[in-house]
Amino acid sequence: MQEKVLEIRRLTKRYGDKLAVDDLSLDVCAGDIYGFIGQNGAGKTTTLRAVTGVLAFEGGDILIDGNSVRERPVLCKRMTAYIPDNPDLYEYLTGIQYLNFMGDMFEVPKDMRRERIETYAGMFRISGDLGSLVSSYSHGMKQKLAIIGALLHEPKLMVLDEPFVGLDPEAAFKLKEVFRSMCAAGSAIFFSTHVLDVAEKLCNKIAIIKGGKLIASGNIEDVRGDESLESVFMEVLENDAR
Amino acid sequence: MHAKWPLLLKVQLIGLTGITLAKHSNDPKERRKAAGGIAVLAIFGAILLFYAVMLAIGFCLQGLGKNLPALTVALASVIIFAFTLFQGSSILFATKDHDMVMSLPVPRWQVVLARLLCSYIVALAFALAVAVPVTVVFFVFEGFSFGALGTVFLSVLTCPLLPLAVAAALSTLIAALTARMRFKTLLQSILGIALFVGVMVASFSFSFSANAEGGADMSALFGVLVGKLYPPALLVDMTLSGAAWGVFAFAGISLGAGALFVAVVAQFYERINAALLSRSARAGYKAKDVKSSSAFVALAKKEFKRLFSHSGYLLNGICGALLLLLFGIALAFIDPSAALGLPAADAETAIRVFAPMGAGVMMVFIGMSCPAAAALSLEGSSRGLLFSLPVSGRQILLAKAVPTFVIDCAAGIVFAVIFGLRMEADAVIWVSLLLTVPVYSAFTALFGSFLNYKFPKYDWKNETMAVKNSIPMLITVFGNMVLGAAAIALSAFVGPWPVLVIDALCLAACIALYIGFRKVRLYA
Repeated sequence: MQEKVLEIRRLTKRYGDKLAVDDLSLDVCAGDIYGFIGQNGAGKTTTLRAVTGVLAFEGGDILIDGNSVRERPVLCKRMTAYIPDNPDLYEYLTGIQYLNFMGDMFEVPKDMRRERIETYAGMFRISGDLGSLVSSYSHGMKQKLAIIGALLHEPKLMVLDEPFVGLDPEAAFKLKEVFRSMCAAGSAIFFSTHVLDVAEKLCNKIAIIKGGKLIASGNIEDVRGDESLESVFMEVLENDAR
Repeated sequence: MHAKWPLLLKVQLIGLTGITLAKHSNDPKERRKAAGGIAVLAIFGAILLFYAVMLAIGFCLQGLGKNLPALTVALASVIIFAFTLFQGSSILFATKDHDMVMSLPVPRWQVVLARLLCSYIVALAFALAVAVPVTVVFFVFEGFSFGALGTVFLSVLTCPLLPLAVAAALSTLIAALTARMRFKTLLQSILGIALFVGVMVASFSFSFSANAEGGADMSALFGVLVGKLYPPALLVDMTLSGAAWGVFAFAGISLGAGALFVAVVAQFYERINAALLSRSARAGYKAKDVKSSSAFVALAKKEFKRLFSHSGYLLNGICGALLLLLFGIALAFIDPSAALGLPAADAETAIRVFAPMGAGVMMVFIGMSCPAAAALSLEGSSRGLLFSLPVSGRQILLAKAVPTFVIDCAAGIVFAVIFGLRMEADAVIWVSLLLTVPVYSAFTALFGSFLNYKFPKYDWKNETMAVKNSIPMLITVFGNMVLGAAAIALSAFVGPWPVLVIDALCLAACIALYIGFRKVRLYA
């Protein structure tokens, strides 16, 4: 049996009277690239933020490597990396200062840190820009910097919200490669996306959320059957509308 | 075409007050926070009202009631000038909604007008909070007249415009001059303080004296002093002495200054914004040795970088400490008794009276410098990044308190040592001085951090909103000033002992806050 890196158990989150996530349960195992799809406002970002300990929730629990996010938040965060949909990084730091800050936060040893910064900054072609203030970066460069910062400590679980938005085609390709190599090394990726084509080609598992409820989840082959993911997704929405 | 500035102004005011958030949020916590904020504002309004009434009665009993309207206008104007100057150019420029607003079909002058009016309304609220109770006292002691009422009404209504326009123009000029400089934030802060001191010195040097020179009655002398503090206020004084044109001239100057400011700034608005918002990237970075430190040190270093990243934050964060440092240095070179021309016997008495007050004075100035009270709010839209890091809420809040503690302590130590030596302090006074510096700095820092945790304001459009218009900052600064003023008053009567009691209470509060921070959970 595969090792469970992330277990979401009956997660419930309300914003006042509005139920944003309703009794949602799913497991992400080591080696999984798990896609999380749904319409705008379906509850994807809320779920991801709850997983990373950024958002408090009312019901259920979230376990990372067997540890509750509620009870041991710091330990869980140490194993996780989170990249939000709009990377609001510290604009008053330079790129290298930001990476050093992230390295310090996750206690990445100096040598390892230098090596990884060189590797990933080279891979995403921003080595020459690391001396500039983050405020001077384009959206895509900020996204790349956020990704490098998230990769520095080789997280066991990587949580990303729309990671491919703003990335150039080369960077998107490289990021997919990174995902695959991380999963081969035993990590897990859990990310939301609106691009069904990416989800279909990249993920081995998928979950569809609608109105805060999990509509379908599991291996991508099981979820889509003989149809395309797009058809399944549209079908799910239409069924619900009827 | 209908004027669009009222709509822009309305949206800005809604953002400033957070009314919509409280009204439409489904989250009961948001509503409780809004209610708490209103309650805090009401309490501080009541304290301000109490102080204003007591001071006004004091002036009237001294026979200075006639000067109260002019004094109110002068004080309100100087405070508005200082606050606007310390806000920096962010009052008008480089706001987060700039692109959105400028893409609307609205003339530039209306955008500038809406931004200026938003600041005007906040300033007017402050001026009214002081002027209304003072005016009531004025009428009780000096008798009611419609003429006086009209004078007070017109002068208070227009008084924020001139200081707002002048201070906003000066801060814009500073921002424009330093936009391309390396240490622009620090430079902007130093220039801001230097300009404030310069304008006040110029005001005292060049003001025209109305109707009293040496030997005149107390009220006339006081009128001159008011004029020296803020020369246009003399026009209000003159109106109450019979020259009706004075207040109209005052209103005309104020409105003219506002209109001129809008007209001139509208011409250059986009260019100034572009200069302030654009940042060029330096390509060709060569990898150097990476530096590592503990998570807490990294967080604290980040807080220092944040403090020095925005002149409005820096100015508000360090103004008290900077003034304390300047007073300390000035005290080292100037003998106060010689400067006041006191005979030796009187000088000794003065030193005996003033020496125990030193710690209270430090409290007032240390309390004015509390960047910790806004540090969490300033995380703004990047708070998700911070809260997802593997550090506890306590570590985050403590790290946010570090710059406040370090800056206040550094300035406090310099002042305490110079003050102690200059005032020939005895052992107890030395203890009160040297103990107050770390204890009160720690208390200010931790209390500010705690209040910001309780009342965060993340949805700001520019840093100034988070720094100046925040409840934590208001409570910390005014609360500490009240505590400091109480310490000064008590020290004058019973020596340094009350300060030691306050220090002990603050130390206990620090320990309680440190322990209490263990329960802190930070969520977006």
